[in-house]
Amino acid sequence: MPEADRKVPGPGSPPGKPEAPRSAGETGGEEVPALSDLHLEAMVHVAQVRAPSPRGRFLGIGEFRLPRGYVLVRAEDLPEGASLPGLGSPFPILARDRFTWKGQALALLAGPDPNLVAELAATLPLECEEEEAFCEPEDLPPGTALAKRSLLRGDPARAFAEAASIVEDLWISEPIDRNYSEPQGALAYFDYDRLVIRAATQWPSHLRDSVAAALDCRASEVIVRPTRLGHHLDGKLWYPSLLACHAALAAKACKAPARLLFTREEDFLFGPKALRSRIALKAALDSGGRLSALEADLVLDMGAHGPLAEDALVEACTAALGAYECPNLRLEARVVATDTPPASSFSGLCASQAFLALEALGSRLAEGGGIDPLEWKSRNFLSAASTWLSGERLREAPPLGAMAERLAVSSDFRRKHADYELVRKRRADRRDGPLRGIGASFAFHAPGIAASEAVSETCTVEAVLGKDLRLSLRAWGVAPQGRASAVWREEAARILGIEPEMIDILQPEADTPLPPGPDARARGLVLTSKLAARACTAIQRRRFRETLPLGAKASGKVERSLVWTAEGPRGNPFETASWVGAVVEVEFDPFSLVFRPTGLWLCVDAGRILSPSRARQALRASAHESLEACLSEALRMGNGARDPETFFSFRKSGDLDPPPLSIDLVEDARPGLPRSIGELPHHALPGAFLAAASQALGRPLTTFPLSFEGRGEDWGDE
Amino acid sequence: MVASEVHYPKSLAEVLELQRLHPSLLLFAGGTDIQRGRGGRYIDLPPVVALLEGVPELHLITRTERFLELGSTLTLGSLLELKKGILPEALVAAIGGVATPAIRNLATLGGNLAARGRFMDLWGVLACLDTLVELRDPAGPRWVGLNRLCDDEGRPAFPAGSLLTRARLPVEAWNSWLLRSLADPEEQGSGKAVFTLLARVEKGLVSAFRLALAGRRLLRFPAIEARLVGTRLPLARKEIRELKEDYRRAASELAPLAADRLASLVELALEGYSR
Amino acid sequence: MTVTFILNGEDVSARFRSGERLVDVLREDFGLLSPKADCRNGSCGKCLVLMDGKLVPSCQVPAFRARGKEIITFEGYSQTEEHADIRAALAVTGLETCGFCEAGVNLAIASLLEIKPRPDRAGMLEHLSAVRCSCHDPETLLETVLAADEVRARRLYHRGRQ
Repeated sequence: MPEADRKVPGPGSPPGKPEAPRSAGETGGEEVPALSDLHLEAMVHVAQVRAPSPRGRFLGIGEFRLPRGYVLVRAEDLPEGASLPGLGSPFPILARDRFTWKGQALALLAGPDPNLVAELAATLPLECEEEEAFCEPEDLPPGTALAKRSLLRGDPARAFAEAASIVEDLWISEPIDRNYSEPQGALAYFDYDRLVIRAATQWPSHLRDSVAAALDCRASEVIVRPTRLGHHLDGKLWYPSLLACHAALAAKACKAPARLLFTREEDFLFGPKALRSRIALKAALDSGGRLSALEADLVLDMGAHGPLAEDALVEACTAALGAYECPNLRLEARVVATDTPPASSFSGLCASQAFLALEALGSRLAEGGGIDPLEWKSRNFLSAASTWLSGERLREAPPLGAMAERLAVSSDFRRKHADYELVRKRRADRRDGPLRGIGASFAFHAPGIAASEAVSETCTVEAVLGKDLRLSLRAWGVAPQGRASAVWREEAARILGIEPEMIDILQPEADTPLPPGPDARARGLVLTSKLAARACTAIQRRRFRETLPLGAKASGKVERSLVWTAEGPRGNPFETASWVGAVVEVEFDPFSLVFRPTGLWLCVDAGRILSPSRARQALRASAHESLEACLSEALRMGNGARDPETFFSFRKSGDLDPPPLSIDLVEDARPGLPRSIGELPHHALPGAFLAAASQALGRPLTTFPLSFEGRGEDWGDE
Repeated sequence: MVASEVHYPKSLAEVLELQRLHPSLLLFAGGTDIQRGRGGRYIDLPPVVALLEGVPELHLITRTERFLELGSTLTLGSLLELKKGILPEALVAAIGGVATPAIRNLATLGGNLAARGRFMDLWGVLACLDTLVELRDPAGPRWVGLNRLCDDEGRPAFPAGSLLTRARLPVEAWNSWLLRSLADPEEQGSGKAVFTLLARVEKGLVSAFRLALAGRRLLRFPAIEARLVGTRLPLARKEIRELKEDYRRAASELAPLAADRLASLVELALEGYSR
Repeated sequence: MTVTFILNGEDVSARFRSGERLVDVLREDFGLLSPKADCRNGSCGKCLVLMDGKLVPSCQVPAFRARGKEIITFEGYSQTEEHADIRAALAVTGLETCGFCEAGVNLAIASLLEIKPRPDRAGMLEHLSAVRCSCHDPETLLETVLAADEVRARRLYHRGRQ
């Protein structure tokens, strides 16, 4: 039976496309479409022709015939050496003659039927020579590194020699699957002499520059119009730039709009995940129970080409040393690039992995000395008189001591911890009650950490108050969506004394300079909030003296709180930091081998809170997501690639029963800016969870996520 | 992609006639298992498909004093909407653990039982409830104990070409039960297994006992279950250890990878009675 | 093949290949973009629609199964009086979604509000787990359901008095 022709809605079909309902929370401004909803006339679909193994030489493609209307784009169609800029090391847009991860794009196939395109791309006769691959950090030659940092303060060797007690261990974090709202993709089309790219990206300027490099044109000839970002989990930083290049190349070759959109399965198999880390920590306590020495060895695996290796490294190093007073320190940290899919930052770059290790170590140090972990951590936090390891004196103490006290009260930590310790020590076997534990962890989010002295570009926000008292706000290169735009509205409404509904957040104009990238990941809120407030204040000052409409622009650069080059750190990351303390209580189910969180407490100090209800919602969502990550399965790699069979069975969180969550927002009466809070639960919860789980099982746990089944591990039953 | 012929039969007789005419006919109920692991744009269908949801005989619920009969195309969602007390609590718990509520509005009882690759969520508890299923094929209808629908290695052995029309559960009171979903020990985390324990305890005496682990394989050992009948609770530690080792031995012949885990689960479950 | 059904209150017919999924037919034939074809295995909830009043993932429904059914997408539901209750509740709780799961969230709330008697907290959370998106947390979603329930009760009470 012949197949029916592609659809023509029959009689009675609703004509045209109904009005899409507005997103919750959007009260004005342009509706930002989703990439997957965009469909242009004569659009072609693009699929990647992928490397079949982790490492090898790409010799070419054997004999093949493409149907009419289908085009193959190869690396030879790119300028020699074309690569994604700004990632620290060369990142090929298409592999020319060598490939370094399974799934790397060797070529692109474009055509009108997406199914046929995918089928052709998967079955082209590739000619490749496999080479020995390095899929684990341990496989690499010793000393291999894309980026390195080291630090020495005081005399750690002597401090260890004189220590009253020493604890050391290796913490391993494996990546998990993080579902951002929409799989990765990009759409490209020509608009007269300019190329328009539509993609969900956190870094529009990088996307523009990457496409310009791929097409060998001026950046001004590339217009970036972001699509709906949704919940990006920091996974849409640089990867959309790669796919935008692919879409652009296909659009050029086909002379038609071209869209490359991963399926969720492709995203699982080939898209970026969080990096893998191996963090070895060794700490010494003096006879007074104070932290006297800390040695940290960090190995971060960012996959092939290690994008943004330096940035990831300095964030991890800053987190690994925490906010503890320690006179003797040794740090050796490096980023390696295995032959695995390149990693992306994800909720905290790799600060969360480092905080996990440090906080778990702190809990063990305390418990080893018979001290309550909250108490121990409070005693060892940096104080106002402290000097940070850059040599800079702190102007004020991190607020962690006071936060620890608040957490102790709200969670009843001390009593519970002592009870669970007693039960743990006295328990003869499983019959002596359920396995419970409670853990505490502290962390911070410090924006403005940079790995080099390179000056950041200027960001600009424009505000215009019209005669109808409607305010329009526009930030160059940033399309604040969701909560960020809601916070802008509230602040602007407060300054100008108008209703938030009278404020429109507009998309940036097409051909305007764009601000920079990863060092301002909170740029939707922190930097641009400041600039938006400044622009609105400028209008308010003139408002009753001049006639409407009135406009004002505010520009600024990303402030660097800390610059950590190969020569060492300079600055103080805590100047603009936001702080978090977390307590997690868990119960272990010996049947399903799953830890069930039974209580969760957060204490957050993030400067001025514009909207407590929004802040709580953001924290709740992040906390829930972070807990799911703790309980998720680890992504298993085999021969440098994720197993396709696991996509449908991959267990993200099991059935997470949300525990009661208490959020304590520390009121900050000082005038100042809001600080980023969304990442805070990701930084603090894993460490607290790991500590609680360790207490419940009565032995230290050192791998994240905490999934036993996948490893077939004995949980200590016998 | 091959175009499929889709039929919408309105009676059981029509379905059987379609099966006779088209030996490779796909019987489509909820379709959730058919589509498992196939996320492509199109659903991979064979040349002829029959949609079962319009067949009233497959949708009936009959209750007598002695048994409860459930039609195979009843969705799991609709089963959960039944008045409390109609379904055994353990079965309700098992149904509630399947996927998401939206998927349960599509997935059917028959689809859950007739899956061929592995034992799905309801298998273990229905096997422990001594459920019978009616199968129809060209030879005619017959009732078969669910426990018989597995081979000597404990793997699913649903007969090809058969239509599962209804399931019959004895109406019995089980006043003690335990149900847990966990990762299948034979598959290192990528599949799901369900551990089920049912018991009838009267004045501290066990009058009936069932225990099963169903995932890739069905691990159920009636001979060991029979040993618990007539025992008094709480069980002594020595008794629990012996039973644990019996299960370990029995399981290791069929599924060595799962034996230790099953033994551990048995011990945990029986210790629960000790408390 | 051609199939007729009711879509957002209107009789429609659609022609498609036998293996096509309902979500793709709704998006491409009818331009109804609220259901998103994301995971394509029924787990994310972004493609939820109401089929004969039941919440189903349209990516798991072959289009041929729509024959004779009543399908309601979020576009259709958002025009109803019942949705106004949910909109009011969203304004009260301030629940913000990423936009991609909006249809799923709204229809999950809608279908939960129809269940009588109302399930307990665990039952409601279980129902709402039909949508798994990391942009929001289950507690705020639950608060929105309770708020919508209140709004609806007040609306019906006032209507009854008129």
